[in-house]
Amino acid sequence: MRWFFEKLLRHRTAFAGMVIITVFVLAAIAAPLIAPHSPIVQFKCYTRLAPSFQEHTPPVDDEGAVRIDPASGQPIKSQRFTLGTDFHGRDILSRIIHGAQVSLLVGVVATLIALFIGIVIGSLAGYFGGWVDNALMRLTDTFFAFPSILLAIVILATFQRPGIWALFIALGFTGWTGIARVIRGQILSLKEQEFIEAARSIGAGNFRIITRHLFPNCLAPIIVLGTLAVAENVLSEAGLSFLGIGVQPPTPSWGNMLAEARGNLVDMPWWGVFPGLALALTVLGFNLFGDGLRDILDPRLRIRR
Amino acid sequence: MLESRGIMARATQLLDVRGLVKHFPFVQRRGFFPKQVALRAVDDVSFSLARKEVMGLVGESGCGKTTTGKMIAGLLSPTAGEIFFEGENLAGLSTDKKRIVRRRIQMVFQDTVSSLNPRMKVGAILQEPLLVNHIGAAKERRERVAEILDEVGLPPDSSGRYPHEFSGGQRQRIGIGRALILRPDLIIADEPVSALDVSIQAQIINLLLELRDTYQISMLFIAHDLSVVRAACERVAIMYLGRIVEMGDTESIFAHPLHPYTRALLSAVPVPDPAVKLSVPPITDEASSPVNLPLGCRFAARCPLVMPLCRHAEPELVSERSEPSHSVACFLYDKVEMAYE
Repeated sequence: MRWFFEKLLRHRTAFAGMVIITVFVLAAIAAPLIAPHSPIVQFKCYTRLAPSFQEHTPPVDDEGAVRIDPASGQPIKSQRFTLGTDFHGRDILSRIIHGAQVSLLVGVVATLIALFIGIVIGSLAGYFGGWVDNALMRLTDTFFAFPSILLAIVILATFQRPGIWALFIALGFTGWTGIARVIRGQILSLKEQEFIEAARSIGAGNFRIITRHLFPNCLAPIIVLGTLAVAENVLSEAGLSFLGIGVQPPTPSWGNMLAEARGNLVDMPWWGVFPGLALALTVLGFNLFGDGLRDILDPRLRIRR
Repeated sequence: MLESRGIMARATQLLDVRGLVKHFPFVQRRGFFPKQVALRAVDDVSFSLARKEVMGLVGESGCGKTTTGKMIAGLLSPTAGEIFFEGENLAGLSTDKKRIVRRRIQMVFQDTVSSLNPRMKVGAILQEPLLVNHIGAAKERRERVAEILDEVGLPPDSSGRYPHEFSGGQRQRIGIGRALILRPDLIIADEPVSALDVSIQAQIINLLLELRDTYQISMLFIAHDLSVVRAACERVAIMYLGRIVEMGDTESIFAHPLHPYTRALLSAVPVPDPAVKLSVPPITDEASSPVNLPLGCRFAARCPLVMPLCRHAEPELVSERSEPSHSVACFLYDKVEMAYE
């Protein structure tokens, strides 16, 4: 364990990825504490405010008149909204922080589901071989043949009301094919090792051999694949929410924020740019971390992505 | 005569192998029509092993010695033939009973790196046989592991370390400990020392022989190194292309080998004296393929003493008249077959 952390600290890009991930994960966990406002409350008089660091003159309305706060009778200030507000007067920073919850949760849970399916199918196929291998791998090929985002849309369409659960399932059930293939390959080479034969000769059953001997030796590729899959799922979640079939408004998600901001990119760029940046950074973080882990844990593993 | 001896032996011998055959079927894609063929790895092998006896199984790579060992250990199922353990046919046992018998036949492997799970600590590796067979409570199992570590000569703090922290010889001691912890009656040692340094080989062989004396274990010692076999075994069986060609007491085989193959093997052992000339012409070429076995004696193609008869009929393994415990499968010694022809 120690050597692992030492290597991680020395691997610059992996470390950068880890820092980015940590920041977003902490933000997501502590969202209610650190978000300056509620993500869904609409501050009716504070709509369409630019980020506070950009605003030097008092905000004006469409006619050019200075906007007045009806409560105090003073010109309004945008200092309260660091990254500005959207069309409905919601604080964008708070929405991004709360959106991290949804994005990371979907990313992680969908990956766990995909890992579970991929590991079970991959190890059964690799271990038993023969017709079991053939049947399971043809099933994998079938899933692999569909563009996964289309398949996810089809699965989501079968839900009455798409929510976060629907996203877990849709992304989990489409993302396991690559994992199954890699695990199968690992198991195929591992099962020829003599310690598997040794386990069989002391009387260990198939279940024990798979769970105690084969699985722990596949951990390195599983961790690497899992990390990279989180990035992919975060991106897919954003894509599906952007299309309006993922996380439903008013619950904030980076994807549906981008969708809402789509028509206002010129006059209110902050509305779309900041959620987009958060998304890009998160994906970058997971990819850097995953690639770094691959270098550290298993230099031989090179998967085509 | 041999038959009656076999039946008598069944009651007293620990292990009795009768007509063991293992074919590996595969599809040969030569020519237009793929055809199903069989690789005859082990082809009619019979021998028996007494309690406390150490028998060597020798032959070049691919001759089926490891396959034979794996069938006895239950890792492969025989295509034909029977394996009797204490007079009971292993094939006829119920699943539960088979588990109990299998416990008493353990294996030691050649490759000390790949035969130990790199993700398991030594304590877990040694405990696993007990765990799998539901023997003892957690505390007893730990005590047994401590005892075994002592018996195989490993430091008591080895339990908490991983296999890669040990040297090759020490790793083989771990492998022996794993085989030993179930208190087996038969150990199948598949080239247990061929991956080790010569200086370590002697230590491991001595350890195995000591344990044999302490626990009355029989051992099937698979090897290709004749000097190792000479040091470790009381009896030797020489295999060639899936068949035993000569079998007898180690003394007798090394003193006067009968089969031309055995003689060639023995003369190939390097003698540390440049003045000594080879007494037997060395054999050349590769062994025939175990897929397309020639008619007649398997060794005929490489045999320096080949006779016309050898290419038509296959000699049986029969005991030598002057020394009944020494048997050989060669027409040079089988006058009965000669007359028959």
